Amino acid sequence: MISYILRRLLYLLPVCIGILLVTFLIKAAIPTDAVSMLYSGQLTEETSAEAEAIIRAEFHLDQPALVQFFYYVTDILRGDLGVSVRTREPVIDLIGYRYLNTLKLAFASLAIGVILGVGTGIISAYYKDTFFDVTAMTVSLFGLSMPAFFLGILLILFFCVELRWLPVIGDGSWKHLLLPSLNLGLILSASLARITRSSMLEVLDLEYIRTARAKGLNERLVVFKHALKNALLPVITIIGLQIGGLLGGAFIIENVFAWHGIGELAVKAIIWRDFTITQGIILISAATYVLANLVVDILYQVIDPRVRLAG
Amino acid sequence: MKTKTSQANTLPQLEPQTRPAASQTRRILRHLLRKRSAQIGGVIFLTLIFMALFGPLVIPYDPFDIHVEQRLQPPSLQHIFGTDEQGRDLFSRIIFGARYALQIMLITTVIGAAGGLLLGLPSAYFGGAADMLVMRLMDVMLGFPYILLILAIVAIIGPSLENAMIAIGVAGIPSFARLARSAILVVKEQDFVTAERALGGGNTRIMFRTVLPNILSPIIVYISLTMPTAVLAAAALSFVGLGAQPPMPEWGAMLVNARDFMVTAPWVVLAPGLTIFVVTLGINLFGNALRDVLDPRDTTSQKS
Repeated sequence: MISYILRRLLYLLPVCIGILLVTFLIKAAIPTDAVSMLYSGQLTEETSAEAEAIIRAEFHLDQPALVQFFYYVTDILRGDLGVSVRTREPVIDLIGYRYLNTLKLAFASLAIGVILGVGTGIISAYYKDTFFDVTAMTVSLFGLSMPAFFLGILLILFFCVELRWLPVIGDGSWKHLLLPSLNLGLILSASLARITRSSMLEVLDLEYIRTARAKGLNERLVVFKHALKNALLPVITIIGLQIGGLLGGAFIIENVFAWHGIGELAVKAIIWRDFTITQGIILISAATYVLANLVVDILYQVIDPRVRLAG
Repeated sequence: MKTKTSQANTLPQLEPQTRPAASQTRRILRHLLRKRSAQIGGVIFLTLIFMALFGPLVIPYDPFDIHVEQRLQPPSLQHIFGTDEQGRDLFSRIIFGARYALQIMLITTVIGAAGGLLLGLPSAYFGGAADMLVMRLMDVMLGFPYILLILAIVAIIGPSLENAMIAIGVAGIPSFARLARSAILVVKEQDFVTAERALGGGNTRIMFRTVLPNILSPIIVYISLTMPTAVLAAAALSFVGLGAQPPMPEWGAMLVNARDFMVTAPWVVLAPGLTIFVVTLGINLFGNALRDVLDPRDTTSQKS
């Protein structure tokens, strides 16, 4: 087990280096734009060249790429994400509370999505080809085709404008969290329901289930005790992969609900060409995703002994 | 015909196909067109293509023409989908926007599939250090969540519709490369590839003429399954202001300003939103049917 975790960590090394390289590229590619965005229209050609030179020096952009990369990596290892090009605030301060907000949103969505999706999938498989199943699978296909932000707008129209149950723009309270997490949770549940259903149906076809049925066991017991255990294994892997989708989804959805997370800031930073903020956010999100997958992989080992033997 | 079908189903990998036989293509098409989901999806997709190609010829109004006195008109006989905050006819703008949707699908797919194949084919075929390197590179890209990778690329090359398409396409490369690689690893050990080599076929020839046609069906299925994702990603990017910019009648971009009017004039939001939804649904339906027909081994096939 421990050797597996060590091996898995070792395997992460190239991925981490790659992530650093990609985020580093963000800096290398857009410094000139950053200056022109910063002082758009306020500078003459002469002063703008001067401003650019100053900012380039401030962010080590006048150095060779390798030296820059060295600065970048050593800064990050010291926990320093730099300062915003635009406001000179430390990036870590800008991101900190927003990161927690995004995590809050992601976890709430994950809970809603898993309960709704896995639940629907199991019932759909149990009542295969009935009205419930057909409806659920049709709705889930709709969910897969629905732009998440459009669903968000519809939710606002329905709950805030039509019913007046919830505030449109919130303050970070649970009431404000409800709609965005419902939004992402619904989208997540669409794919989870389909995967759970097909995984369940596949397991229900296996010999040991036939044996259990032949023994005359209660059908409900067979489905919910014997089949469910095995059917949920692939679902856990998919949930791990969906954490990425959830993070990405949060980046878009935060903009619909004015939820102050890193996604909302990232979009602004990209438009402002504030590369240190963008770098920091992308780095921290990618790290979160890698970490989440590591946890899922280890969990998987704990749950399924067969994987442990094979791995 | 019957024997051929059953043979194709039981031994799908062993049948060498230097080029897809006409009869087989016809068989697949016949199977496909019998499915309701393929019919609905196909009609939606053909409508989209028609709108993209001939839309500008049939639209009732200029999609860019501003008529302030006509602003925020509800749907009527004159303006089927109503008008937006500047009095532009939404129906005309939606139809005109079809060309962007089609462009997005084509360009992102070509970049993703071609990039993935060009990396995955030689990598899997030759193996060794190059294979290692390419696959580690793909691992790094997959180390980012999909939308995040797209955002990172957009941050590097700058926000615009063209760059959004490039970013979405590039973000799709690693999955295509992996898919191609795993399919090729199976195919390249098959007898007909060995035979081709014994006959003196060069590597390039074997790769592109012998191996490639035999991995096409999973690739095609995967294309049909990633296209909806690409459309949704492009719309999302435009929506947050990192893709197509507002005066452009791209459907995602049409929703940017529409949000301010959604309470008083919900049709401004509903028209582009529902259009994206219907088009994505159509491709999803078609893709699911295509997978069921082309990939009968896939036990996870879902009904739709």
